Amino acid sequence: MINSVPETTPVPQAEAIETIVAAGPGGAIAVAGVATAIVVALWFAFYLMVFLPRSA
Amino acid sequence: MTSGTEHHSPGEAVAARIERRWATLSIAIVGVLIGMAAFIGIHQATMPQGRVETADPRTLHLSGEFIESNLGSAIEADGSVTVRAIGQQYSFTPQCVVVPANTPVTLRATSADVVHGLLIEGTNINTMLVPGYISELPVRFSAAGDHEMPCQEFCGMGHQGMWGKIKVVDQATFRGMMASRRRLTCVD
Repeated sequence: MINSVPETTPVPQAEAIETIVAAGPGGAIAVAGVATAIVVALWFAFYLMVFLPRSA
Repeated sequence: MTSGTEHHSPGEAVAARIERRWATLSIAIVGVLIGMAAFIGIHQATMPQGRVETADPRTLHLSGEFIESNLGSAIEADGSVTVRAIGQQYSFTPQCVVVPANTPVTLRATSADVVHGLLIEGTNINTMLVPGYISELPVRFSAAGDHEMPCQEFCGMGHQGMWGKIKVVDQATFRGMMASRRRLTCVD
């Protein structure tokens, strides 16, 4: 229930979470890395293939 | 990011390390982009105007280089072409400019009233025309053809109708058109 008192986390579960967190945020790095790579690649594509060929 | 090197758990240490690496990567990306812009700028692919020149908008039509008889294209002693133009609500004068292809062209323009913009479609020529100041841009067109030249800075209720044109012709045609004239526009 939304307003119910949260159960105290039993120790084994806390250890399990710690194990997962210690493994590192692989998924977040993958998503952020792909998104950043797309943005940087688009910047270079526009700069090299649109802007520079138009320069006087 | 935590301020010290002490971490209460391995998970915290991993998070701090990942965060540091991501920050380093971000700074490296910014560094590459700034370095590239600086490199290209130094090699003159893009250069801002090197000096500030002024022109009194109240007397533009009376004296100086922007009087009506001096507007349009002019051949300089070194073979290059100088184009002088004015932007005013809501047109460019001359409305259509003729320039030769494969020739260095210096575009000099100013505004007679409010701030206008000058953009030549198909090129990266894009500047503001500020009353009181002369905008100067080096231009070189590699092929003959027509380019639209809209005002790209909102200048009033008639802004959307403020369009000019650049007509690029080959060098021989330009010399022929220019033969008997001091200044040239499309209507000559």
